[in-house]
Amino acid sequence: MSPTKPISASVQSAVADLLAELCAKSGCEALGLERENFAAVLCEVAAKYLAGTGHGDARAFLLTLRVEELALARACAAGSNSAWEVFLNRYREKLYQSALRIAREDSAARDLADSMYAELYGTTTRGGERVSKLASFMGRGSLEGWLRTVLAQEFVNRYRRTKRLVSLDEENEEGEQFAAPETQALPSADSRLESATDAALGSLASEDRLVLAAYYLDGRTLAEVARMLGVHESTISRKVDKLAKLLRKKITAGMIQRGMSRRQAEEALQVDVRDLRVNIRSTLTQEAPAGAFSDNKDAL
Amino acid sequence: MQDVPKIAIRRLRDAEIAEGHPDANLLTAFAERSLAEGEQARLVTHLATCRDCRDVIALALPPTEEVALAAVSSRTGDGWFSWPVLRWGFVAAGVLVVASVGVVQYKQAQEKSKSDLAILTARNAAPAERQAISPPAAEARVAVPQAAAPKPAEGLKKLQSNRPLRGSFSAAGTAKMATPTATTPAPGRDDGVPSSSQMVEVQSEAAPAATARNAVSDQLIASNAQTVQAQAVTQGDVVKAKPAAPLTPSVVLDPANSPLQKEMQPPRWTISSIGALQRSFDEGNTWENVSVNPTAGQSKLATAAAETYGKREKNDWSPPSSSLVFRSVAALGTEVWAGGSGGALYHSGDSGAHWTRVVPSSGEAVLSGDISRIEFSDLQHGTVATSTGEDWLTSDGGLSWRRQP
Repeated sequence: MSPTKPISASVQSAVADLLAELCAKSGCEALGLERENFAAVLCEVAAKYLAGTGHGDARAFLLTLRVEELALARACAAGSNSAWEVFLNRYREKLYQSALRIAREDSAARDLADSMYAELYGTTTRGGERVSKLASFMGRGSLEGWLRTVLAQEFVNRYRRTKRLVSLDEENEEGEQFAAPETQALPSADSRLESATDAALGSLASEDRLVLAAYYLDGRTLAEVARMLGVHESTISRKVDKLAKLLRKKITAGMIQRGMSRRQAEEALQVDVRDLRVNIRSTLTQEAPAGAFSDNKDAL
Repeated sequence: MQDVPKIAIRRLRDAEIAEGHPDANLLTAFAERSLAEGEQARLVTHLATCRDCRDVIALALPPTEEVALAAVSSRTGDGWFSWPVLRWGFVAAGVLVVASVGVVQYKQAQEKSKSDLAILTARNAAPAERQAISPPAAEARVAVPQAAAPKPAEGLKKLQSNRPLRGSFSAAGTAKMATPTATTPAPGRDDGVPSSSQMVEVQSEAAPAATARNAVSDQLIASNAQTVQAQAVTQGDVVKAKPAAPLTPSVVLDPANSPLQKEMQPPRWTISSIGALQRSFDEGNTWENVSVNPTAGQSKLATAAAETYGKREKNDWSPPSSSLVFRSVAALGTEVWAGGSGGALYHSGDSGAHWTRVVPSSGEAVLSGDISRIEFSDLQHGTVATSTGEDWLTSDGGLSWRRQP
């Protein structure tokens, strides 16, 4: 396996320092993964996520990895039958359960789980070598959590693809294929209101915007947003309440700064300038191509 | 509670992007709280503008029982003094302190009301005072909570007209009912009142012109008459009934400003910082948590209502889960509406003594999402708004609902 990024000297020395310890911890050799190959895996992972770090940081990073699961996943990807047996014993049922929880319907869950098995096992080949999705597991989180995430990504990709196809079909049936843009028929918001709103939203912390987006755009409940962020539901409830008040205050102040009177600003905020209708065209132009998740190799 | 302005929601949506997605490893590490600070910040910035990644995170969450364990063990090796453990320790300590204060205050209030009752009983034992609570005053007690004229017949009629939730009083009203709203009787109350059949009799004498009643409304009117009648039976019964349920302002035992009279005022309502529904009978000095779990008697009536209107299955009236977080409450006199997470909407007609779960629906549409705002301009006209942008309106006190497009 070849790393996507060059390996710095500090990473190499940190791996060399910790190799014996991490090999023992991971049980890589018992799973059929030799020390040298495991060292290469560790270098690949560190190079992917560490940029310009020193020896100490590289050591600390390597010690945070889930090395046992990393060794198992990479041994499976390398074709070790014993590793694959261990993997199936531990994760086969969990994979199906996760697929069922995500798809919420038995046949769709089986379809999702089966296609994921094929990708994990490596039914496709590249240059004569079997390509397994497990080769992209990096040990940053648990293998079980990673399996849930890749299932969810696959599900979201399929759903987005289906939605686009259904939307286009519906438009064709209804004769709206060449419908004129709707924007001209709708009243536009005062530009001062929009710019004050953008400024207010821009001043929020990313986590606050995340909470608002998850709650108001995605329609998630307080409990779901709280679980996503690992906090209590009441924390999110308070945060949403606080953000609503803060945004009103900031938007009003912003409009006043832009030349409106307080009364005008408050009236502008009260009026629903346009409905939040589902605009299929703008939604389609905003969504990413189908292969965004599977093809993307960029990390943050 | 205020909502985020719709213009802000629209601009949030316009700012969504769909590129530069993090890989599954980073998303997993985010969910398991094992990212470094800088990575976490970058990922949160991306998640704030990427619906697909937010969906993946939400879908990939582990089963609920594992989340609590993961949150605690996300920093394994830090032991008892790690921040997550300490944080929950502080929360637990805070809850304990608040609960202790609440129990102490409740006990004090109980003792205060007992001493008030003792004073009142002693006062009522005096012949001169007994005169003041003679049949004419008892008649006044039968008056409607919202009415000023105390004649029993008129009072009961007015009770009916002012409380449409308790049944339909016209044929048109019956047709409108799309959602069965269970009523709030108190069949289990042990206050020595006559049986409901007697109450129905009294009622029909009092209001022979009432039309289009149904079994549910009869029981409700009976229960309301029961509530009012209980106070007219004897002073002792009135005194005994007082702690069981809040009485209405027009039920006067003593024209003077007695502590007991103050307690008959409709309570104030609020939502605590952790989303608990609370009320205060002493103008905000002390507050008590209010549970909305329906009683066994209510469930029977709720089932009867469901059967009558054939719209809801029994499990729709099941008690809420312990994770219910209230976000909005509106009260007019003794009529209270409270709503919160998961579309939970509750109504009480007796200042919170009894509650009914209400599920607004119109055709195939059912209210979904968290309830973020409840407004009632009067007993009949109200609006319930949700976090998903739905507005549900009623113009008949909650008997029927329509979703505003």
